[in-house]
Amino acid sequence: MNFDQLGEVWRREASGAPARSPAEEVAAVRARAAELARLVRRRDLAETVTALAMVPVFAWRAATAQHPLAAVGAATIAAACVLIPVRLWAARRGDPDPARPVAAALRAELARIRAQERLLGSVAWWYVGPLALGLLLLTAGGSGPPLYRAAYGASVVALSAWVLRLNQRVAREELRPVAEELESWLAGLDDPVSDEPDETLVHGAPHAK
Amino acid sequence: MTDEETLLAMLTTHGAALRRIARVHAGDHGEEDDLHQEILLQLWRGLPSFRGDSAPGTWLYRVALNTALTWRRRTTRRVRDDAVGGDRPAASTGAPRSEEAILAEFLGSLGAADRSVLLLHMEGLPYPEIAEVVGSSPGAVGVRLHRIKQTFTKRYVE
Repeated sequence: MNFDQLGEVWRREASGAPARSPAEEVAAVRARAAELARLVRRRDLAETVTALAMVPVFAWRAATAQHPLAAVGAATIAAACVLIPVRLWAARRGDPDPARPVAAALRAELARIRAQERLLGSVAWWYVGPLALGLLLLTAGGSGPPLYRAAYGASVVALSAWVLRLNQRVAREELRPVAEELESWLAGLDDPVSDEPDETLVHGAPHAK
Repeated sequence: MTDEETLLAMLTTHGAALRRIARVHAGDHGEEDDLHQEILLQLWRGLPSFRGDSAPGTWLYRVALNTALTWRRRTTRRVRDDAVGGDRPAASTGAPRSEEAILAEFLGSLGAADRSVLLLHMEGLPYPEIAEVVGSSPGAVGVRLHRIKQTFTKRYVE
């Protein structure tokens, strides 16, 4: 077989009758798209309602707190309950055009991964930090026994540190390698002379030099 | 023409090509149907933004390849972790292999850019249309295909 025969071999594949007719495929994909859209709407609504439901609770605590520290803490948590869903909504906004040229789509995907990396890298400022600070202030200005408040505060700090580390690990171990992989794909598309075989997809193939 | 009619017309013309693209990008992980469904889903979602600026075929191949590459990238780590190596070429035992097996091995050994260009070439797209799909120039497509041909010939023909 020579190179010019590859097309013929390629088109021979999947030449049999498909399991479903095009009309059945269209009906199935339409139903699946509607179901997925419903799921996403439900998730977004649950997140937003849960966060916003906390706002009046902590606003009321802030307004009625006996100690100024507790008032500031409750107000901080109320503000965080607005900030977090807004930040998540902003990060998810904008469905990328799936029909961009492949190179442009890969560049957009790389930018999206980098943005996610930044988002996870900054959870201390928009997620963990405000909530932990609010809880600590609320506890410090609270009325429980000092030992209880100290133990509760330590738990908040430990939990916050764990969430922070978890996010940083995802950014480092999951997102960074993906970004590097996309960069290597893009390098292949941008420069036809220096394209290298994709090491992530083939193991031990006899690469041509 | 409604979105449904547009997608139906596209599938009638390019349905087999979409299956082939799903098959080669899903590898041996039994996910061909899932990837095919994902491509169809992305086509459906993208239809409202299809304004006819490019040919329906160009638009469809862009969506299909973008979806397949994203899918492959997401599954690569899992495959690596499972040490399945679905794209790994079969070890050479000296036994004659089918033309389909040779083609699958060759496609699996190519980088994402080369593989995309070769798939489109084998589907019969002319250089300018391949260039439009991948976001390159017809000249660069020609250079790339020439290099792919050299690699194939050196490995399987000589």
